[in-house]
Amino acid sequence: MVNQNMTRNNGGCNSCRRNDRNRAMSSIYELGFVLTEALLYLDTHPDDQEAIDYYAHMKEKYKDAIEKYANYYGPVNMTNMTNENYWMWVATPMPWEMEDC
Amino acid sequence: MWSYEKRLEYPINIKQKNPTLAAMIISQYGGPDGESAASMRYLSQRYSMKDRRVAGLLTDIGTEELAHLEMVSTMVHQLTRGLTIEQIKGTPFEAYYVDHTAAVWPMAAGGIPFNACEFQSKGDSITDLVEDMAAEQKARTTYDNLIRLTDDPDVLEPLKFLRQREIVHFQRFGEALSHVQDSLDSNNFYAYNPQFDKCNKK
Repeated sequence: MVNQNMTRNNGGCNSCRRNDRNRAMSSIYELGFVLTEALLYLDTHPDDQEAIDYYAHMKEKYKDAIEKYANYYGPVNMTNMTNENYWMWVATPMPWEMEDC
Repeated sequence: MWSYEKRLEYPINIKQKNPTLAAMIISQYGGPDGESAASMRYLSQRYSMKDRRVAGLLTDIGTEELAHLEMVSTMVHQLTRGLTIEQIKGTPFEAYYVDHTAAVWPMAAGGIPFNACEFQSKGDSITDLVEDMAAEQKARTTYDNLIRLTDDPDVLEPLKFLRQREIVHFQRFGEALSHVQDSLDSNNFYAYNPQFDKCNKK
């Protein structure tokens, strides 16, 4: 299922597939860091309305990015079930794996 | 990357303070077979575990162990909250109190501080998984020993839950070991370091 989606997305080119995946993951890196940074600020400024609104807005963008990535490339967290017939959590690479090995 | 859930894995509400019991239970936070060593062991071993099912299992059990050290810490905290100095004097908690007041700090019941030498990360899938199975049994024995020391149901229930988890983890690690052994080269009948410098993912 994941492979079919990737093929449909980029016509089966391996390096394009990798680039698409890396792009999708970099938005998760960026939005994830935004949430981490805002979280620490909010912990010490729990009544900052502007920061609360900012967090609420970015949280939605983060959730969308995770869902989009999971649908094409496999789960980011354990609740992203993208295949009904195989537990994809242990099928896709671990984050420390390099492309060549 | 991790995120935190603001809840315990299993609820704990200990009404009766007991500094002596806290000084024993602390061992499952920072002792030789405690949850800190368990978590660090699995989360360290996973990088060299080439089978993705097993790397995933080490990640997920290592993560659950973090929730277990939170449970053990909660028990220690609740058993020692609001103690008077008279309730501390003459108990085995007295020496701990001198250095840590009523804070939570990882050490063994015998007073030895938490130490990474309590676990191994060897880079050999079979070596590591056999260690993991032994570790789960050692932790289960420690919970058995703790369970014998109390009849307070508020303490017994979380201890029994944690003991059960050791048994489930032992079972899962046994299955993981079978996965690794099944993928061995047929010539590797001594079952040594099957994955060093190899690139065969599953």
